[in-house]
Amino acid sequence: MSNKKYYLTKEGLERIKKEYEELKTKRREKLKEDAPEATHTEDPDPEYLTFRKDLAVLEEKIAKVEDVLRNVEIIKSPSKKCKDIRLGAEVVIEANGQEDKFILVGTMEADPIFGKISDESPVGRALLGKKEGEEVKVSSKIEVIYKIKKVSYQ
Amino acid sequence: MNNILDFLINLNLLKGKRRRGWHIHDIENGETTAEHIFHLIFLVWIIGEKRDDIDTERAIKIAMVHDICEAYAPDLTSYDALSIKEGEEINREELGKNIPEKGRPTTEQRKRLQEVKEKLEEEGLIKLIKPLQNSFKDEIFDLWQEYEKGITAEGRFVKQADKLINLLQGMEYYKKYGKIEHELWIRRGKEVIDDPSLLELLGEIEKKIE
Repeated sequence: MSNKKYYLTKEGLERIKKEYEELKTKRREKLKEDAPEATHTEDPDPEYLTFRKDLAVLEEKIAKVEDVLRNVEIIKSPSKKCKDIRLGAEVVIEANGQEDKFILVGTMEADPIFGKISDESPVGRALLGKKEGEEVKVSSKIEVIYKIKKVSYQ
Repeated sequence: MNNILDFLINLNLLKGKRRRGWHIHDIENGETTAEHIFHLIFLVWIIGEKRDDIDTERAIKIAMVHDICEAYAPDLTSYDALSIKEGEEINREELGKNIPEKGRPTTEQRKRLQEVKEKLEEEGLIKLIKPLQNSFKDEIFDLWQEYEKGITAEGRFVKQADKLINLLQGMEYYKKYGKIEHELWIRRGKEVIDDPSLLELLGEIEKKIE
């Protein structure tokens, strides 16, 4: 398994822990089922194969969630006066004349529907460490300038 | 075998279901949900094979099921949230029936739409897979939840690949019809995608825009 750090808010960690418990419950229930017997013939019982496959998928998912839980780092909010962009910051920006609001989070919690962008995205990376009032240029063929209008923490 | 046949016949609905997002952008005869899924599968397969942190077979299966709920659920976009009024109940029956105005809904409107959307999609999926035997039903439902919840690397990868393939399709329509705010779409791509392989591809898409 990886040594990648997973940055999560407290709520994000709770969500992962809940998912972990649900997966373990599913595994327990699966093991309680009447497991089909393995047959030692040339054509293995399809029910037995399905049972083994389902169990293997569950085990793999549990292992992946355990990897996240082992390498998690909780995002700590700085003081409310902090004006530089760190993980957990709510940032009001202006780009191409349009105002927008982002919350900078780790990759596991990114959810564009709610304006949560990952610190590993090009825009997230560019904003990280910058301060209120600064401008950030995200360069490529299409250049975009993000004016940082407000930085706040909950 | 009848149950498999029922499922396959119902799945056919996706071949005729045009994606509403393109309609909202005034693209005539835009792709169907089935065509979108087909396109995504190839992206996930080809890029997934280059990655040792992704179980490609599982990711392909997630891509296959990610939007099949739309056989029975409406294909809602964030623009649909604009019709949600504060303090008013959402009329589930009316959602997705009209073409909404383009604009930027508030976070609260998006949150409320998302709650209803999740329920409608889950109900749509359950209705679609109902004829199947339990093991398949469970597998499809689990794969779909992996995509929705983004708990596993495969679920998150497919979710971002979905955004990229949509962006690629948007750029194809831009070349053909104009009508798409291509610079805004590329900008959004760089806000919402963080997967390194998909970002590399996004860079290539950007280079090809005239």
